[in-house]
Amino acid sequence: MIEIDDEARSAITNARALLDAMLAGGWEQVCITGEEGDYFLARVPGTPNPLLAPAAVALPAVEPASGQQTSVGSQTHTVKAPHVGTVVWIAAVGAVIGKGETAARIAVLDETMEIAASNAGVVSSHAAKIGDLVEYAHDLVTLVA
Amino acid sequence: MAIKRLFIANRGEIALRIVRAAQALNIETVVAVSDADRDSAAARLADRSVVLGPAQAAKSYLDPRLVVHAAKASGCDGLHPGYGFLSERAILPTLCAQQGIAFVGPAPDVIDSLGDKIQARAMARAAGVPLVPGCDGVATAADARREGDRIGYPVLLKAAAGGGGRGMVIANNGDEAEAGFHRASAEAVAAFGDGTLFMERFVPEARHVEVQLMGDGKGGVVHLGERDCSVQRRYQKLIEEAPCVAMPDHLRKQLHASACALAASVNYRNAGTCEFLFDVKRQEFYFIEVNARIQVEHPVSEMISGFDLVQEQLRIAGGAPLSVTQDQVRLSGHAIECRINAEDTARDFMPSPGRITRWAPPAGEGIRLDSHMSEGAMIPPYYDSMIGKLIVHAPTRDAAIDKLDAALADFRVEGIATTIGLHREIIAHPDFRANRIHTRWLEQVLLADRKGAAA
Repeated sequence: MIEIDDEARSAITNARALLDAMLAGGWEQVCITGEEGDYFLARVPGTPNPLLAPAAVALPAVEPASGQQTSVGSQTHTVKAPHVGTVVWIAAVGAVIGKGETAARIAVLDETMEIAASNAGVVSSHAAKIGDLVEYAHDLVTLVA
Repeated sequence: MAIKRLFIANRGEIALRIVRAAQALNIETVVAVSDADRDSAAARLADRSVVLGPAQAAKSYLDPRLVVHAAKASGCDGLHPGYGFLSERAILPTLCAQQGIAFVGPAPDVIDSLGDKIQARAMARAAGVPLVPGCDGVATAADARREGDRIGYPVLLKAAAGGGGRGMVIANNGDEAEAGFHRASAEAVAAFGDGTLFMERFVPEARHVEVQLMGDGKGGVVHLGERDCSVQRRYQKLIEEAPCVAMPDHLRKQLHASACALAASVNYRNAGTCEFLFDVKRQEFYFIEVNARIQVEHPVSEMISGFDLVQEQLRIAGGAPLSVTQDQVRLSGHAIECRINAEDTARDFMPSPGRITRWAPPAGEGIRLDSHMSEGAMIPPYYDSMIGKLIVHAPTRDAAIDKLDAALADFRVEGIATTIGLHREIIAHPDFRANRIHTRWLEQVLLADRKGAAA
């Protein structure tokens, strides 16, 4: 017998729901990419895993794990809040931010988190101001590449 | 000081239930939601919602720092945890206290001590609450026979160091106790390196009975009767009733007194439930645990008492004393609740998330539905599959079963699979009507019959 805690049970439930959807929808393959890992499910045993193939299979675009969005056409890039928090600092408009550099900071209780830009750019506008309670996926700053 | 703005750190039907209770007391409401619940019924009804994080509960509803930060930053002076999620984690009231937020629940140390099974048993013993008869430290086969004879068979021999079913043997008599000792002890040595065993009475056909409590942390404790939650599948309750008609009055009084004594011994504040195992053959009950929160099945107690437990929770968290004395609690009639889950009972209760294309619930006198669902609503796959609770109230158990059957027959849900059909099967079964059920009845009898019929 294996002891399962509530968190694991919840994960199993979700996996079962996914399998159910896969069977009901007639899907042959499912690829999931996320912060905690990448997953590949196939209905037919022996199906090659596209996640292991070096750039051979184009995967559908997913939102970057840090909760940021890039608009390739306009070359703008929006840095979003990865979770709820209060804005304590935002890079000034006109500041040059390198890839991976801090574009904003939000506080959760007494802890401050640095929110990094996933692409380099110049800060073109703010979507929140210091002291704002920002929610998950709320825009913080927009960068122009 | 009375709560003015309440943060609701939960989702689903209980979040909606809490919003309504708060609104009835003129308390403003802010509901925490995950990205998947932005458009939930609770979020729409509340004064405001705050999106904590992504759909995954670990990054939203289960992060106490995000929850308390959102509560504080949105100007709330009270926080209701609902049930599940963080409701029994002491970190939540601890953080609330640091931020000057009234937690709708017990003090952190009470949550911790009641949440620890060993401490809770010690507290129950100290308060004179009966525990399952047993003994610690069985060292020899002769000890096992002697203690088994004393406790009364069948008995369960368990590894003192163990868990997960290893080193666990059921013995029906003295010979089996001796043989079982050797087997369980050897298994325990192999699994845990320690052959020490303990024994307790095994109750093969037990009922799950629990007492609804309400304490104000100022010395006041009342009970609102008991519930019988014996229809379970894999320890998950499916149907709950109040009162437990299988229990005679003299035992019921002892049950209530035991639960109140335990709550009073910790100066309990909040709604709470004291759970017991009821050995029908022996006519004895034994303490299981205390749930220091509002429970899913609280509506059956509300239906027989006419008392709003969630409103009382909010008043007490705001500093008010209990609004009733035990003498003022009047229990009448019989209530039954069915948990309506989005599950496919024909496919091993597989969750059935998706969009509800038709939602036509029953209505009428003595019928209550606690649900956050509506036509067109989406059931996300990330959380518990419960989509509502159907509760009926009638003068007697038989009348309540009849009313429930009619209500379930009227309940139309399309687009997803639900447990509605299973509930009709359960209450139509002669064992249910005759009240011959126990905690393993559903799996051993009804579901086993179903499997047999399908084979």
